[in-house]
Amino acid sequence: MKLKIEMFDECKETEVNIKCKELDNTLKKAVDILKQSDKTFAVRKDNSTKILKIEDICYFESVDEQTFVYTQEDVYSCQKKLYEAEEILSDTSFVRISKSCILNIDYLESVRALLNGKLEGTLSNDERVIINRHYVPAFKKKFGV
Amino acid sequence: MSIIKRLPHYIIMCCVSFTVCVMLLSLIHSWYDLMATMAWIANFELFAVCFSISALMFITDMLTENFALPLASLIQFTDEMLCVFGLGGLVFGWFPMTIEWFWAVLAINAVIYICTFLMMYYVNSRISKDINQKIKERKRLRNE
Repeated sequence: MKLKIEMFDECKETEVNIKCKELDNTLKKAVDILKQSDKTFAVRKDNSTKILKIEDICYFESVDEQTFVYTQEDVYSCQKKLYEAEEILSDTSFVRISKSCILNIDYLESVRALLNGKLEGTLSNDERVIINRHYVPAFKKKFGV
Repeated sequence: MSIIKRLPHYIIMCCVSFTVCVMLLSLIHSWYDLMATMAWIANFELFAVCFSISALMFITDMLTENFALPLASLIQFTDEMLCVFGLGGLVFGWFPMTIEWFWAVLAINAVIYICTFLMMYYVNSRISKDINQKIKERKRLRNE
């Protein structure tokens, strides 16, 4: 694959053009990364607001109608409802894994089957999340399985 | 998530439980003549019961999504018993509603439930293996 980067001072907006015969897995991954690079979420912690890039977010969780955003080290609250976050996160590495959770699969280390038809995912910070039975087909599809 | 996307799991569950049910009843029938009253059971009736169990589980699973494994399993087993006794016993009249038959049907249902869920566990284990492979590939691509 040829990689060509052109930089010039007059450029007002960065533009990425991909010329290819077909979108293979490597290209799809590159497109996913580009698509999510400009998506951010405004989150709050201790009365201060912060802008988080979505690649820094491990997962979103809804508890008592309040949405929480989990990074590797911190937990923030978010104004958006889970379904609104899900819309924003379409075509990214995020996937709904239960009624109350949307997971970034880039932070997933491994999965294992549970006896009740659910899957258990282990994240890179050793946290565990449950992929509910109803969401397993969409989860599989995200990995192309 | 649309209902259509959830259906394959319940279709597989219905097919597995139907197969285990037919095999188990045939096996018991070949060993002992205890199942004489069930000999006339049409496959469609058996399938109707298996289908109603899957449909009922589909509904209760949605309501009990975050329940612990033992409680969720107990509810699913209750779904199964309700369909077998309600549809099989009362509607199709497969067996007399006596205490002896209650224990016999309970035991058969327990075996079918365990076999079906071991099969589903096996299927999910294969899926996990494939996903873990894909996770490794994604990590390798990211590090390149």
